[in-house]
Amino acid sequence: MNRRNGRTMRCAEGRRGGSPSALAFVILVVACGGDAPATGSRGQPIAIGAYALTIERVQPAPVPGPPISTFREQPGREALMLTVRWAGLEELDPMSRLAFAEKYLEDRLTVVDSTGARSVPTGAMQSALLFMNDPGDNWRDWIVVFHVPEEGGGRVLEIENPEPGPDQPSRVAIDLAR
Amino acid sequence: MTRSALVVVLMGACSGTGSGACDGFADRNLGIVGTEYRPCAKEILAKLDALRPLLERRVAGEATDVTAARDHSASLAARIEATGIMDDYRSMRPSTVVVKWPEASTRAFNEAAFYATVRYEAVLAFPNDDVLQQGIRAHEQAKRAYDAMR
Repeated sequence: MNRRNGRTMRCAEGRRGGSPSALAFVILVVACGGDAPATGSRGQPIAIGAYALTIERVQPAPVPGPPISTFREQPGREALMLTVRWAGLEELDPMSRLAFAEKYLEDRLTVVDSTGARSVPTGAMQSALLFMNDPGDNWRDWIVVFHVPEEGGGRVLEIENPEPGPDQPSRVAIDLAR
Repeated sequence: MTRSALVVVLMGACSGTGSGACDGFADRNLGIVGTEYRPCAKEILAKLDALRPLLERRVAGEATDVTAARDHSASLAARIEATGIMDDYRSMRPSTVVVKWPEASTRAFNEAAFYATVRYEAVLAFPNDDVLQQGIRAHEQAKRAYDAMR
């Protein structure tokens, strides 16, 4: 699987031929469905343990983009750019803060469209890099770029919380059309 | 509870290989910070500290309590296992280690402590001074990383 080329998966992919046994069906339901995600919205902080992530804006990635491979056009795919803001990472040392923010965004965010196609981020970076500026000590503002199938509508961003605290959902879904 | 089950529970409790303050970290997935991890790290260091002189005597060809060394080694391995760090580093998910252990000092401790544990276990099985020295260096790195944890 190649993340940088805008990996897309469908939940039932690879299930062909023969009637699935009840056990396989249950496994598939659990693996593909699980609990329904909580509904979030743009501008509303999402609690992730002691940290918080806010999805501020969603827009097409600029064309031409900055000279960064993340923005390279991919045939048949539309580049979406999320602007997000972290909070609560103050206690981490500067390098760990950046590593946490980047890895979390690249690994725990998914865009799902109405066909069930799931797209993982092509990349995440500090937002100042969009304008090729020095981010300085701004660890809060980030952008996340997805390359999603052009034909897919009804896109929803899913944010995973790997260890939900009390009153925190394990997944939050944000309708990107609103 | 049947008598045999009780015996098993008591044997487990008295074996000395329990994972103590390290229990539960294997099940965690997000944001373990130094303040909560220090008690576990302290236990891991204590086991490394207890094991080291026994291994030094063994490598030097002096009489040593091999049974005690094996007990310390098993107890150390149980604590390392309870942190989940072996699974974390084997994870195919790039974010696992950084998201679970976001502080550089805890990551540095884990790497050094794990390395020292593996080396000390190797020395226990096959006494070798080079491997022991590698373990000692990692052990010292783990101490420094522990001191850096807030």
